[in-house]
Order: sequence, then C-alpha cells, then structure tokens
Amino acid sequence: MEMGIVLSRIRKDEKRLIAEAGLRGFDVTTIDNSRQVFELDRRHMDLDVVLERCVDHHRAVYALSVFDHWGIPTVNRQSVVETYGNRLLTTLALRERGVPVPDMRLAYTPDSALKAMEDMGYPVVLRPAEGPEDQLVSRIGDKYTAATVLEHKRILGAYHHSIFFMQKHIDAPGHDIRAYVVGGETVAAVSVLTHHWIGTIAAGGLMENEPVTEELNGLAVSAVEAIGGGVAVVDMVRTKDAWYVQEMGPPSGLSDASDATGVNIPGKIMDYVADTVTKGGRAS
Amino acid sequence: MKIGMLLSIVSTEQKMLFEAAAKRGVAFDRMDDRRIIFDLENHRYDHDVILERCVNHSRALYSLKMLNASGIRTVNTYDVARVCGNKFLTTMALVDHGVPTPKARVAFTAEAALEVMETMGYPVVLKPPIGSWGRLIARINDRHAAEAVLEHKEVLGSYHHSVFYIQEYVEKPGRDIRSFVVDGETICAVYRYSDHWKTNTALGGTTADCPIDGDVGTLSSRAAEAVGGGVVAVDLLESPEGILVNEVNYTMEFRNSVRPTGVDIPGRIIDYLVKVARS
Amino acid sequence: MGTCPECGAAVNVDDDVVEGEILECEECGAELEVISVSPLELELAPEEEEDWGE
Repeated sequence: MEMGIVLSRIRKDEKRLIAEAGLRGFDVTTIDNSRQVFELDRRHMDLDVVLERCVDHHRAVYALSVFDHWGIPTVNRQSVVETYGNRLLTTLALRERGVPVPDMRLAYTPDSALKAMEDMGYPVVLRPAEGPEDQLVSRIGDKYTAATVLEHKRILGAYHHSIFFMQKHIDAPGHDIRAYVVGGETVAAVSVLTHHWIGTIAAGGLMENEPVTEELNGLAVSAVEAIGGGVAVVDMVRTKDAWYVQEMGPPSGLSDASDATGVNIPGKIMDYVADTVTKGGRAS
Repeated sequence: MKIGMLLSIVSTEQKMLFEAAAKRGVAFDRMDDRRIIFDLENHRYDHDVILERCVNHSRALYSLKMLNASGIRTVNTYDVARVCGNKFLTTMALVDHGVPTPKARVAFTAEAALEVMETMGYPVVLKPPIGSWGRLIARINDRHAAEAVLEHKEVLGSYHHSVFYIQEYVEKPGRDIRSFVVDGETICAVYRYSDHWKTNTALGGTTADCPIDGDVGTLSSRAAEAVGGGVVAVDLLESPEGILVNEVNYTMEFRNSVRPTGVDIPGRIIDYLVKVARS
Repeated sequence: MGTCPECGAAVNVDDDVVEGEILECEECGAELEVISVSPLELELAPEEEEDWGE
C-alpha cells in the first residue's frame, strides 16, 4: 500500500505518524508541498491514500482538491479541511447539526461591525474568518476598544481583514478542553491550563489529561460528524451549565497530547487511514 | 414575490438591472453589503430569491454562504461563486467535465513556480487564483521576467500570492470571446478586441457580435454546467487547436455587450430570477 | 447639482441618478458615490480593493 504524506516540514508529529504507518505495512512517500507541482490536466501520482499534514491551510486545501480530482482517497477529505479552516463554514455546519456554538455575527465594514458588537453586547471575540487560532484574535470589552481595533483592521486592509467575524465571548476560566476525534470516536482529550484568555495550546497552555466522559465524547463526535467526519480536534469550553464548541482544526500537537494522555494518537490515526483505504476511500 | 439585490456601489450593470426589473414590474429590495449584519439567531431575510451583485469577491462568497445556509435561494449560488471565483477550482471543474481549457499547473513557492515555467516554456501566464479584471495577471516571456515577478509576489506576501497558478499562453487572433449563459442557454456572445494581450473590456477595447452557433454556444453551455449553472459569463479563447474555455465569471459585467448583440442581457437575468423565485 | 467633497466643484448629475451610483468629478477626477438623491449628497467612493471584480 502506497501512502503519500503531503507536508511542509517533518516535525515530531510527522515522524511518529510515519513510524506508525510503517508498522501497518504502508510504503510512505513524503510530498514536500514547497517543491511539489500539480498538473491539473493529468494524474501524475499513483498512490492508494494521502494523509495531509501541511502547516499552511491553503496549501492543504489546494493539494487535497487535486488528489480528490484524481480520485485518490485522502485523510482528511478536502471539504472537511476547507470547513474546519474557516470559522464561518465551521459555525454554520455545527449549527445545522444542533451543536452548541457561541452567538455570532458577520459584517463587512468597520461601521457595521461596530453596530453588530453593540447589538450583541460585550465582551465580543473578533477574529478573521480564516487563520490560525491564536492569530489576530481580539477580545473586545467595550465600544472604545472596538473602535480602535476596527480602525487598525481598516488600515491593514488586506481582504481577509474586511470580513468581520464576531463571537460572543464565553467566560469559562480554566476549562478549555481539546478533544481528538478519529473516525467517529474521541480517542483522547486534554484540558488546557492557561492564564491567558486565549486558552490554546498554541499560546503555550499546559496540557493535562481530560477524562473522556460520555458527554464530552458525544459533543466532540457530533462536531466532527457535522463537518463531514475524519480526524480533527475539537476545542470546547465548559461553563457552569453548558458546553460550547469554539473552534475545530487539524489534528496538531499529537506528540504532546499522546504524552499527556498515554494514548497513541498517531497510531489511532494510522488505523483510521488503513480503514479508509479498505473501505475505498470514503470512510467517515 | 420578494426579490432582493445584494450590492455595494451601483455600477452601470446594476442600473441596467434596475431598469429591466422596473420594465417588468418587478420590485427589488436593495441590500447594501456595507450595512448588512448577518445574524444566525434572527433570520431577517424572507426573500424568494436574492441576486448577488457585490463588487468584493469575499463579501459575495460569505453572503451567499450565509443566505444559502438560511435556506434563501440566490443567483448565483455559493457553490457557483466558490468555483468561478477561484481559477484553480474552475480549471478542475472544466477538466472534470471534459471542457477544453488551457493547461494549468499549481505550485506553492516561487522556486517551484519557476521550475514549472521553465518546463512549460515561455511565454506563460501567471495568475493569482483569486482576483479579476485582469489584475496582477502577468504574461511572462522569459526567465528574467519570471524571476522578477516571482520576487515581487514573495514580497507582497498576501496569502493568495503564495499559491501560484500557471497557465499555458494561448496565441489568439487579437481578440477573445465572451459569452453569456443564463439557465443553461447561451444567449449571446461578443468578440472583444484589444491591442493589449488581456482582451478584457474593463481594461478598454471594443466589442462586436459573435455568432453562438457551433462550438461557442455548446462549449459555453457546457462550461456553465461544469461550474454549477445559474447566470455566468464565459471567456473563450480561439486557439489554433480549437476553442478553449479560459474563465467563468459569476458576477459578470455586460454593459458593452447589449448593443452589439441586440440581446437584452439584464432582461434575461431578471426573467431567470423571477423563474427561480417562483420555483 | 451637487458639490464635490474633494475639491468643492459643482458636480452635474443626470436626471436618472440613483442612490449608490458612482460618478466622476469633472474638476478633480475624484470618484464620488451618490449617498442620497434628494437632497443630493456626494461622498468619496470606496477605493478599489484587492478582491474587486466580476
């Protein structure tokens, strides 16, 4: 079985994934996205399955589109990656499935964005519709901060800054949870302890094992099913009386999460990839 | 029947659409995308159909997604805008449907892009996958030009500049063809003449009627079907090997095409909207 | 008849002018947007952005 892994760099996570693939009898070819050229009018790669591990979201989406176009099964599927890489697409998919998400608004100009924030009430989290979870995220507590941040966005000007995606801030100190979902099951979960309000692993939060309760598993699995299935992380917050799904994304931080939980997450992912190939590429 | 038009500024096309609607007694609800706030909790839109005429691609795309997700029909749909708004996705849709289109390659770094150009041979066309009006489209004649342009792209750095869409250069007879397809039917086409190799009327140039029997009509309809239908304008190139579909536009301009073709393009768009609203 | 907010020149408009329409000031060449028709109010039109087009 020939597996292509399309990637940007071979990091700790990729090393472990490649090792796990070898244990399952895959011949692994790494495809460096910075060197790869895709011809759109003919299939020029012969692979049984492709695992996507790009750092850059757009490269991931473009590369997966090509493999999909060629009929090569991929993990994840292109539409799943396109969805979890975009906050609006993710929110819409989650809502349609009835997964609880923070209240949101979308506007296109600083004036209408300000009006939206005034209307939904502070604090509001303003972020670009696309981009890494910890980049250009602002928690806005009042009208003056809102006006300042919006002015900066207006001057920055690149067109992703002219999509104003606003979410109601959910206050849940110390309760940020990341679930690793692989093929319809939460294989591991960690809680992120941080003093900064952006409670993400990327922001340097410490990870601890979080027991996978039935409730946590149920929510995380429906979130991943809502975007089309596959392998993903689900970032959730738990307040006194409710859970919310805040963000979804590619399975990153695998080594650290495996160490914190004692679960071999790369191994679970490779089991899923093997299963995908057996089922003809459309496993969920 | 309630029909909305989502727009920002009013260009000549929008005015022509207003007039065509007024002539048919169809009332429009104008929605300015600069004032709009989309809110999932309160659905404020109860239109039977909304015509999207935003000038910004990203606003168009996000609005169509929000509207379609709330069950509002739009012309065009999100799926059509997503594919037409991205040259890479358009090429793949055309290839999937067996519609002849210039050869294209994709690379993610300047080094890989340069290698593609060297392999394909010059001249070659470099395009941002997203963008229009011929903006930042470069015809590259040799390695020196390639290096200079790629260096600029790297410095510019905006994320779409890190996807390099490279297309073979098609020798054309001083003109290209733009056809208009509504609901699967090619309704008319124009030749666009220009001294500049980008024969886009937005950059100046003249137009004349182009017959739609034969390949022009058939290929335009097939290209429209490949991207998902609706109301689109198809850009075609007359290559020595036959007609090729270059691009498909989903919020098209048509101001210079009504007179030479004698076809009431805005009227046909409004008729289609009414049909969608009633369906 | 309106006034260009950029140069103060008088701007002639056609009878069929509509709200949201873009005009050019003949005096200074600025692109102007019609904010309201009656009374006639003009503002500088939005600048072209990276993703503008068909």
